[in-house]
Amino acid sequence: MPELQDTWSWLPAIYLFLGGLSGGAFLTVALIKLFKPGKFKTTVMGGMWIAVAALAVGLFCLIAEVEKPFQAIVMFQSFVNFGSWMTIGAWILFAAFIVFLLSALLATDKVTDWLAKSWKKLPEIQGTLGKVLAIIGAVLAVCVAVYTGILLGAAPAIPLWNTWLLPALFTVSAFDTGLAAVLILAAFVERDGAFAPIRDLLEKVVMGLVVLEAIVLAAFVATMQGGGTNEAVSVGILTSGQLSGQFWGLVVVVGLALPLAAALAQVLLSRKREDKQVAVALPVAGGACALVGGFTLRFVVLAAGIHAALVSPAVLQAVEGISIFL
Amino acid sequence: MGKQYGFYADTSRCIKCWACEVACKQWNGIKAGTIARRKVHEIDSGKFPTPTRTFISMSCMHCAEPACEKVCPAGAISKREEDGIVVVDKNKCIGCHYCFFACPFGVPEYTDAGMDKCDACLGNGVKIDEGEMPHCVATCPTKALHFGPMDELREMQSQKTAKKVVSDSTRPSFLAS
Ligand code: SF4
Ligand code: SF4
Repeated sequence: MPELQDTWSWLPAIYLFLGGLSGGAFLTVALIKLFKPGKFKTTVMGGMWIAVAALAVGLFCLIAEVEKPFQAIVMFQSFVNFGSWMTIGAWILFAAFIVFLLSALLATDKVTDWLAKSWKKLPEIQGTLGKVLAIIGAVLAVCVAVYTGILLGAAPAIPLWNTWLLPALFTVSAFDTGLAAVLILAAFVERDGAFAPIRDLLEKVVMGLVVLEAIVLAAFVATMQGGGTNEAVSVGILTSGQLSGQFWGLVVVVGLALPLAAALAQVLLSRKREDKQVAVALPVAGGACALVGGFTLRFVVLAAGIHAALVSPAVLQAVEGISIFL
Repeated sequence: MGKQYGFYADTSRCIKCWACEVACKQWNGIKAGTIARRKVHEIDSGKFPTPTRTFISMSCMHCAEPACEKVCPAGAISKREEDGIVVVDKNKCIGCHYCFFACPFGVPEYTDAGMDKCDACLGNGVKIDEGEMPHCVATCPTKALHFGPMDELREMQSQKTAKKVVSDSTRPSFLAS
């Protein structure tokens, strides 16, 4: 039985999950803000703070993983090789954190009221500034989501990771989990009917994303199974090996099937009701399942990413035609 | 660019005495029970009743296109112009382990000081430009391990049955026979 990847611990899995969630959540509320200006302010503000907090905790986990964290945070010294995706990613994450934080501060009335006392022009430009930040932030949010997959995808010696399908998979899952977090929040704060059409739309987006994620996941698994011994052994850990319980139970059933069912139920139930309201429990349960699935996906992909030189006896070959036992 | 130096392992001579591994640890001050820059691998091939065991000593292969250098965010890994040896600046290394995920041979290992791998003994004072040999090569009692400019090694290898190194995406500077 192949041993699981242990060069990186589970900390990067938390980052991969929270980074994706942060990007997805910011993108969702930025779109709400841009297309429904001035509305659903609590959800927009809350979603932005979720994005800030998730990214902060995620970055903390990522930095805690390296051997010299204090040296790593001196970014202009430690992230200098722009031929490396990790360098590009680090600076994207840095920029995203700043923009997410500024957006969140600007969306918080207490902060803007206080600022306006000394900065008289703020109320005039606040709207435009918020919009500009939302647009830049939305672009960065997509980059943050994609980069979670690129970080692993750009590692050439790990057969399970070295495919563009991985960034695709993590990006869809990022949008999915970020949207889930915003919908959970909205279930509590948006109790009047005004949000119902948005909720209806977003639940349909959830369904679309779940279907898309299932397709990308299936393509990922199929590509790996057909890819060669290394790939097949790695993906076998997920589909039939040590992590198959987590994979089928938590990623596929809890992370995909249940959120799909919950979203479908909401769309159907709200049709029947005049006020388009649904119980809080449904979106919360559906969202929570999506989050559990999203985290487990990152965890199992990280753990099953065995190095090509270690993955299977056939690849313990450094010299053609003969196997080497390390 | 100057010459590309590399290693050549002649499996027909290696007797798995581990002298190269031990010399490497000794000269580079590597604590026992931690990492190993050089490892003697055993290859079992053939089936009963004629099984064969072959031994091969391997370390970093100072690739022509080192994948480790490309992915290192801190720019801690560099390939020397003059001899093509791939070296690590441990002060710059932040210990992110990304180079391990890039190297096709899983060579990079880590200590508290940072990433650690073979530097052809440049770090302990061997002057390869003056023809001095890394300690593993100098120690090898059977002359199974060689070091030098690749063209000279190729010349030596051509006297034997060459074995091809499988993963050549990084063009390793390593020959085997
Ligand atoms: S063998 Fe690995 S560590 Fe050595 S130069 Fe090549 S890629 Fe880098
Ligand atoms: S562990 Fe050190 S040498 Fe390796 S990629 Fe990270 S910073 Fe570079």
